[in-house]
Amino acid sequence: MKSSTRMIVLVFLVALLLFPLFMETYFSYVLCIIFIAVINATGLNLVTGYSGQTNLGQSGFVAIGAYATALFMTRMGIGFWGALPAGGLITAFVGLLIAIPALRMRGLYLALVTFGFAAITEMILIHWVSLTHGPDGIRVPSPEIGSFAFNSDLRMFYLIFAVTAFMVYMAKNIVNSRVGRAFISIRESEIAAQAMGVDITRYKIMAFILSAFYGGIAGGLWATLAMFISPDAFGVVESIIALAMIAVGGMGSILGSIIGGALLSFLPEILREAREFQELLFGAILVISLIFLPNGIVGLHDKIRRGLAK
Amino acid sequence: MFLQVLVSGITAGSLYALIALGFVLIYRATEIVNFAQGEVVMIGAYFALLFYVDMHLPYYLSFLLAGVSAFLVGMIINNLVCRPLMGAKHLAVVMATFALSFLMRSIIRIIWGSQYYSFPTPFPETPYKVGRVIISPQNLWIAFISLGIMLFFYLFFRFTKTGKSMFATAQNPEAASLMGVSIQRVYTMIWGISCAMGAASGILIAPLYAISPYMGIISIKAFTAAVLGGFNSLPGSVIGGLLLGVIENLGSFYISSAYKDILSFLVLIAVLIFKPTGLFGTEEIKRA
Repeated sequence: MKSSTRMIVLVFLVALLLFPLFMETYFSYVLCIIFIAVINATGLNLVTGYSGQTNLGQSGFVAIGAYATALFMTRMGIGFWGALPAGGLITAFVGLLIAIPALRMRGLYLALVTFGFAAITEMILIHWVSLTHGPDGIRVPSPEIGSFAFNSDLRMFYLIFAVTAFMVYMAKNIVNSRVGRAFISIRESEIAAQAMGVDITRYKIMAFILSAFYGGIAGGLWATLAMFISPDAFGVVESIIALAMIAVGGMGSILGSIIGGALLSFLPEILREAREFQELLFGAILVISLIFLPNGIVGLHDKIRRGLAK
Repeated sequence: MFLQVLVSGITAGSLYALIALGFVLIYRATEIVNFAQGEVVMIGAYFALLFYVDMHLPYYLSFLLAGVSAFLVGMIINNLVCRPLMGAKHLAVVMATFALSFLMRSIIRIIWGSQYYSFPTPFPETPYKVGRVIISPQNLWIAFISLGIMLFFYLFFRFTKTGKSMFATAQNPEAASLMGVSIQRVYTMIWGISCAMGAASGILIAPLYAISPYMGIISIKAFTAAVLGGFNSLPGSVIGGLLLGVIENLGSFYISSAYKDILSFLVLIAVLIFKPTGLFGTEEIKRA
C-alpha cells in the first residue's frame, strides 16, 4: 500500500470511529448493518469473486452462524467471545461439507447445489422447532466483558467495527498471499492452474471454508446486534443480495466488497418507508451495473484512468 | 383411494410441468437459468386479473391476451437485458434474472399494491365422477390445458421451420448461425414463448391460489421438478413435474399433509446429491 493511500485509509477509519459519537443512535445501528454486510460480502468475494466458484448459498452460512452463536450463548451459556468464533468454526465446517460435492460441479449445477443448500437450511430452521424454536425465533443476549455489556447500538458499533476491521484486514492478507494467487489462477483457468502445480481441490475447499467462516461471523454479529433471530431473516434472497453486493462493488476485489456491501445495505435504509421502491431501486442498480459496469464500481476507476490516458 | 390421490397428483403435477418447461426452454436455448420465471407466472396472473376481472373480457380471450402480453414482456427482457449481456460471465446473467424478479415484483406492487386478489373460477363447479374417483372440473381443465399447451409447442418445435431453427440454435448456436438462422431472433422468440408459458400457468393457478406479488414462490416447486427431470431435457421437465405432483400428493396422503412442502425439498436434496443431472438430463462437456 502506498503511504498516501495508507494515510487516506487511516483518516477515513478515525473519522468513522468518531462519527457515531455525534450522530443519533439509529445511525450507529445502520453502520453496524453495513459492517456486517461488508464482512459477508468479503467472504463471498473470496469464493465467488476470487476463486470463480458460484455460491448461491451464502445466506445459509449466515443463518448457521447466527443460530450457532445464539444457541451457544443461550443453551450452553458460553459467552459471546467464545460463541462467536465457535459459531464461525461450525459454519466453516458446514462450508467444508458443501465444498465436497461442489468440487465435482461447476456452473449451473454448482449454482443449484448451493441454492438448494440455502433453501434447505431455511426449511430446517423453520421445522426443527426443538432446536431453533421455529418461526418464534430466539432471543439473544448482548455480549459482555466482565460487567460491561454491549447493550446499546453505539457500544455494538465499536465491537462490530473492530471485528470488521480485523476480518477485512485478514482477507486483504489472504488475497495478497500465495493462497489468493491460487484462488485467482483457479478462476482464470483450472487447467493452467493445475499445470502450474496449484492443488485445485485443496484451494477450492479452502475458498468455501473461508466464505462460510466469514458468513458465520457475519451471522453471529447480526444475531447479537438484532438481539433476536428468526428464520425469515435468512431467506434465500439474502444470498442474492450478497451476490449483488460483490457484483455491484466489484468481483475479485476487497475494496469492491466494501463499496458494494456499504452501498446496497445503506440504500434500503433511505427507502425504509416504501418497500416496493426498495426492490425497484435494488433491481435497477443491479441490472444497470451488470450491463454497464461488468467489473463493478471498482472497475470504474480503471475505466476512467484508461479514458484519461487516451 | 390410491387412484384418487394419483389423479390429484397428476393434475397438480401438470402445472409444475408447465412452469418447469418455461425454465428448461430458456436454459436449453440460451444456457440461462431464468430465476425470474416465478415472477413471470405472477405477471401472467395479474394480466388475467386485468383482462378477465377488470375488463370483463371472455375467459378464452383474456387467456390469449395475457399470453400475448407475456410474450411481449419476454421479448423485451431478451432485448433489453439478455442481449447486452451476451458474452458476459455466466454469473452476471444469472444475477440479471434475479434483478428482473425484483423489478417485476416491485412494479406489480407499485401498480396493484401488495394485497391479495381472488380470481373467480371460469369452470363449472360440480365435480365429475369416474368410477370411485372424483375430479373437479377445474383441476381437469387445468391439466387438460397445460398438456395441450405442451403438445402444441412440441409440434411447433418438431414440425415448423421456426421451431426447427430454435432447436438447431439450442444444439449449436455457431452452426445454426452459419446456416442462416438469426440467433438473436431465436432467443427473442424463446424468451417470448417461455414467458407466455409461464403466464399461462399463472392464469391457470389464479383461481387456486390468491393472486399476490409473492405467488411466484410456486416456481420453487417447478424448479425442483425441472431438476428432478433433468434441467436440460424438455420431456424430462414434463415427467419431473408430473412425478413431483404425484410424490407430493402420495406423501401428504400417506404420511402427513404438513410434510408436503418439505417432501419436495427432500426430493431436491436427494436429486442434487445422488444425481445432479436429474432423471433425463445429460452432463454437458464444457471446454475449460
